[in-house]
This record gives sequence, structure tokens and C-alpha cells, in this order.
Amino acid sequence: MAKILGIDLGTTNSCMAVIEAGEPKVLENKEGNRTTPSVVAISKAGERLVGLIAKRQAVTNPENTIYSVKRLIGRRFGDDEVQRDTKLVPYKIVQSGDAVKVLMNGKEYSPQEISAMVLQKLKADAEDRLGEKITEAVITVPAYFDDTQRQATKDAGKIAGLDVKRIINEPTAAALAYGFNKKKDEKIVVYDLGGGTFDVSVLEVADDTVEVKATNGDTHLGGDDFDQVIIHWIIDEFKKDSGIDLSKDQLSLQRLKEAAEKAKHELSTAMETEINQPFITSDASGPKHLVLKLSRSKLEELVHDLVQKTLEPCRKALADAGLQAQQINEVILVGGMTRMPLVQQTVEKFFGRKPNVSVNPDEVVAIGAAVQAGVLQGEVKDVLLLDVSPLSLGLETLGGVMTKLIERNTTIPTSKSQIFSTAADNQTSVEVHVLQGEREMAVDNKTLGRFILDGIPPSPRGVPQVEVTFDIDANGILNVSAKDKASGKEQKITITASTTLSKEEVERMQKEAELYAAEDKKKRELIDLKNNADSVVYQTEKTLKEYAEKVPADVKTEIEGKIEALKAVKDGEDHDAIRKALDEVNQVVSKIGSAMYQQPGAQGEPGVQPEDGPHGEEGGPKPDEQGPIDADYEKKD
Amino acid sequence: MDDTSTISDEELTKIQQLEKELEELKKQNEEYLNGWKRAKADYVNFKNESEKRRDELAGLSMMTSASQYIPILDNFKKAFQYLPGELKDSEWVKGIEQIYKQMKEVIKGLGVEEYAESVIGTLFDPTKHYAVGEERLDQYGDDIITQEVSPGYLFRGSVIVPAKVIVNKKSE
Repeated sequence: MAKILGIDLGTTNSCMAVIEAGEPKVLENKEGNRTTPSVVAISKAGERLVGLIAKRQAVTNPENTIYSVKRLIGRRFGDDEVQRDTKLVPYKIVQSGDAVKVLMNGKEYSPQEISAMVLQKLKADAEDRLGEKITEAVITVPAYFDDTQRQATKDAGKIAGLDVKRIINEPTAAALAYGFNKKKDEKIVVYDLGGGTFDVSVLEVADDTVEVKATNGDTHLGGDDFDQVIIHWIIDEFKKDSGIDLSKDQLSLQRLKEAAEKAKHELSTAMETEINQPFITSDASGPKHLVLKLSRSKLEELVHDLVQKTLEPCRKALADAGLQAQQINEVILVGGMTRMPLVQQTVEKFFGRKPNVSVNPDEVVAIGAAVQAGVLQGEVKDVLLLDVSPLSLGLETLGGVMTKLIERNTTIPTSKSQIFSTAADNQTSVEVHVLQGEREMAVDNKTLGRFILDGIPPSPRGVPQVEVTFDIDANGILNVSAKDKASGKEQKITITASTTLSKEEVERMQKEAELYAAEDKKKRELIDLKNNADSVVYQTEKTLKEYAEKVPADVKTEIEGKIEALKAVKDGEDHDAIRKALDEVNQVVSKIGSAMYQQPGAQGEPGVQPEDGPHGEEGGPKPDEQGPIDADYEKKD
Repeated sequence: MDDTSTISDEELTKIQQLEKELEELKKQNEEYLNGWKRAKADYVNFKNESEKRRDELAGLSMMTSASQYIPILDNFKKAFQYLPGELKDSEWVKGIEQIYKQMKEVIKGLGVEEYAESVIGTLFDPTKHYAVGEERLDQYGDDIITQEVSPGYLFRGSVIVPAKVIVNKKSE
């Protein structure tokens, strides 16, 4: 089924998202960015530029670069907003009957046509990303847009080749992104402080519909104003310091703009930042550097008035909705500026509750549009509900530890296999003890069943290959089988109750696992170390025996001494002592190899790596270089 | 007696019932099969997408880490632009120049490099340049770059940071 694109067609930037596998996902544009500047231009060569590229040439082609066209869409030429913009923007806004048009490269365009160019780019980039045609969209508009503005936005979609399935309010989209449309009779405030505009809306959710009760804002207040305040502060500080006015120097000013924005971002997480711009300018005495520390509290002092300015619209919106701040159930923050801690604190203080910030504030509206698109295309309908395995499943291995084959929260049906081996020479049977739980030690977990696989041909430890397979079907029935690869002998068990634990039981087991995590880890480490020591003793003794004639007597005595020392401690509980003795064996064991290589004709020898053992290289086993065998069975007598 | 007369009404109802059931089961079977096919296709698509995404992310993380050094390179460049004449032949300065070169090499190894050609005197192109100002100089034509505010950088051949430039404006 073709996807419906969710589009946040913003004043400064636009963003798009789709539902994929039931989840909303923001799509990157061709340039790899998650937002696209809502800027359109015609270059001198007559080429149409949209997005970042149009923005890059705005300074040198201002009269043919159209931005913030959203302020004009669906408006009449006589509107105050239009008249105000006529004085603010460098491009020409002209009258066309009652309506508004903009002039680009000598040609008149309606705001719908300009918006359509942005939408066309988004559509093309989305098609590129998804590898499929996009013909339908959900587009968001500010809550205060009237019917004409909404219709004009819809027309823009049509011009861009999109069938606009629905126009939804930006604050409603934000509420959808948080899933608040399910909250009956709740009152929600959406506080949207973007790059150039501020909007606040009061919503009421009833019977799955979201109604806008009131809206207010300031069409010329946003992140850019905050940046300007910081830039002015830097210019003033530098002037105080050096007497040089950077505001006259367009090269320095550009660097200050970037530095201010960077400082603002950094102070959202750090308490202090350093604005460091070496060689910012120069005078007769030589180059000048700019080094300034800006603390969060200083920044907050600088932008205090701007943040306070957002509260009056909040007050008005509440009054229009006939509500008190304490009647609000949820507050949602939208727009990049709401990342600033002062903004969040101010909002929290005003509404008396912590605002929702978990969805990226630059993307939340587009995500909400995608959620609406998902509802329209019916993708959210789940034909098949897949279950998960609530706890880990595994088996007991050497030392009484649990080796997990299927981790908890794995979606079922699923199957997993692993090769195990024996723990002792000539061991002919293994016991498969099937366990469920999160604890490290087998004894602390729940036993689901056990069975014995016998008839394994007698061989040295670590040689037999027993493939154990855990398979859970869609109904939660667990089949465990063990097969000896040499003899082909197989045993299996079916456990029907692997996923039928009560919710309480699952929670208890998970909680216990968390509670004992540190203790269990320690125990497990000790056992792993003991197993390791055991295998090193075995392997080294075997190697020594095999190459008895080739190893010089003094080397042999030294190694044997170290092995004895390891044997003496390996069954004890002293972690450090075992570690030390093990390291010592590992250190001396390499002497076998070097002694042998020093002998004449050594190159023709079969080598020191035992062919029949899974462990070890270069003459002996090393603790971290175990072969394909992850865990050994305890010996069945 | 023909064949049909041997079927009783009861049997006929049963047959009809079974036929109906068969029809339903066929429908269900098809639904399940389609669901299964869809799930398998979803998985394959997801796998391919994840692989692609992983490569993209690897590139992206490399680019992100390399980009952190770009301002330092810019400042090095600026420092040498301001180099006082009397220090030009200083061995110490030459050492610093070598460090600058070394740093450029490291970043180049991560896939990031400065534009090879100087942008000054070339025609402004928004796919490679970001205009941050204008000036009016007689020796240059319209839309020709007169100054480079900061250099542009490529990551594996595509622009990651456009060169910030001042552009000449002759015409009004």
C-alpha cells in the first residue's frame, strides 16, 4: 500500500515523516537533513532552487529568494500581517486582485505556488528515500489558520501533485505524536517556540477528537531573536575589551552568528561555555582574538525578557479557553527553542506541571502528521499480534551457571542453536537442564525440564560437539533438542509452559535478577575463572605430555610447579589467588613453544597447537582464546 | 434411480455446510499465506534497509567526528593568513605549519578534505558556496567570489560544509 506522507510545512523549516512498520519515522531529505528550509529561489541562470541551496544564496539574491511565505498564504493584500511583511522582506509582495503574489525573477507567483515548490522537493526526496511513489499527504497548519488559509495550503499540495487527505492543526499533531488523543476529557497546552514564531494552543480531548479551544501567540518571536541578543552581548563585550566594533565587519559578524548559536545550544546542557574565536579581526597592533566565557545564568539574564514575552499569550489563551493553569493536564513543548532549560522552567512554573519533551521538538509535528496519515491508511491495524518470551531461556553449564540461548523480550516464534561440549575425558553422556530466568546461577532460576543425551563416543574433553537447539513456536511451546554431531544421536523435550507464567511471577523474577545482579555477576565471574583454570591445567598437562621429549627439563619443571600452584587454589573461593596463579601458568606456558622452535628442524614439526583440542594456540591455552565451545557440561557419572 | 436421488436432504445440508466451511478455510488459508509472505518480505526488506542504514550510520559517525576538527583547521588557516612578515622564515613557525599539515592528513584519512581549488575569483554556486555577504569591487564581475570567510569541505566527494564567501555585486 502506498504511504501517506506527513508534512509539517513550517514558516522557517519543514519536516516530513511516514509510518513504517507501525512506527512514525522522520525522513531525511536528499542532503541528509531531517528538516528542510522553507526557502525557494530562482537563480540568475533561471534555475529553481529549493531548501538549503536556496538559503545559501539568499544574501546575494535577496529579491529573488522567497522565505516565510507561510505568513502570506491564503491572505488578502490588505491584511495587516501582509502589510507588515511587505516592509520586512527583501522580495516584492504585490497585489493581485484581493490576493497576494510574490515577485521572483520578474514573474508573479502565488504563495500556494511557492509552498508547492517546497512540497514538491519534500515529495521527491521522500520518494527517493522510500523507493516508491508518494501521491497522498497530511499537511499541518497553525491552529489559527482560517478556511481560506487551509484551502490555500491544500491547493499548494495539489499543485505539488499531492492529494491532501487531511489538513490538521499543528498542536493537534503534537498531541497525536504523544498519543494524547486517547486521553479522554483532558486539557492539553501546546507551547510552540520555533525559529521565528511563537504559538500557544489549548486543546481538549473528547471521544477521540481533539478540539482547539483557544490559540494565541506572537508571529515575530523565535530562536532568531535569542541569537541576536547573544550576538549583541558578544559585540558589546569585545568592544569593552578591545575598543573594536565587530558589528561593522561582515566577516566577523558571520563568525559571531555561528558562535552565538553554538553557545546557545551548548548551554542547554552545560552550565558554562567558552566562545573561542581566534583571529576574529585585526587592527594596527596586529590580530585580535575573542575569548569569552558565557554562563547559563548570564544567558538566562540576557534572554529573560524574551522568555517572559511568551507568557502573556499563554495567559490570553487560557482566558479564552475559560481555564485556569492548574486545570491543564498535559503541556507539550514544540520547536527547537524549547530545549532551553529556562524556557522549560518558565513553562513548568506557569502551568504548574512538567512539560512533555521526550519527542524531538523539531520533529514532533511531522511525527503527529504521520500518525494521522497512518490512521487514514489503516496501517496501524495489527493483523498478527506477536508475543515475546517474557524471561530468558537457557541451560545449566559447567559450574552450575546458566547459559542463555534465548534472551528475554525476544519476539516469538524463534529458534536458536549453540554447540556445547563435554567437561571431562571420555564423558559419554550429558544432561540438558532447561532453565528459565534472569539470574546467573542455574539454581536461582526456574527448572523447566531436564533430559539426558547418552551414547557420545568416548573422547577427550572438549572434543564432542553437541548441538543444542531451543525452539519456541507461536503458541509459546518450547522444544529443546540435543544432538551429538559424531554419532547422530538425538534427544528432545517439549515444554508447554514456557510462556504461561503469571505477570506477577515474571515481575518477581525480573526484580530478583536486578536485586542480585551484582552478587550474581561476582559468582559467575568466579566460576568462569575456575572453569578457565581447569581447562588451562588440562590443556597444559596434555601439551607437556605430548611433547615431553622436546621440552627442556628446566622449562618442564617450572611449568609443572606453576600448574601445581594453580591446582592448589583453583577449587577454592579466592578469586585473586586463582587469577594470579592462572596468569603465571599462562606466562610460563609459552616457553614450550619457544623452546621447541629453538630446536633444529623445528619447522618441519607438526606444530604446537594440539589438533584435538578446542583450546589454545602457540603452545598452550589462554584464558581469552577459547574455541567454539562456550560452555562445558558438568560430567554425568 | 439416478445418482442424485441417493443423497438425502440431510446429506445435502451436510455437504453444503462442508463446502461452506471449505470455502472459509480456503479464504483463511489465503489470508494466512499472504500474512506469512508479507512478514517474510517485511523481514527481508527490513534486513536490507538495516544494512544500508548501518553503512550510512558508519559514514555519518565518521563524518560527525571528523567535522569536529573543521573549526580548528579553519583557525589554523586564519592564523597563517595573519602571520607577521618577520616570522615567515622562523623554524618554530615552520614546525607549527607541519603540525597543521599533519592534522589535515589525519582528517583526510577520515574522508574529510578542504576544497582543492581556491574559491576566490570563481563564480558563486550555492551547491558549493554559502553567501554571507556582498561587496562591490570593480576588478571582479557580477556574482564572482571576492573573499573566503571560511573554507568549504568535502566528505567522500560531497559537500559537507559549504565555503562561506563574500560575493561581488556589480549590478544594482
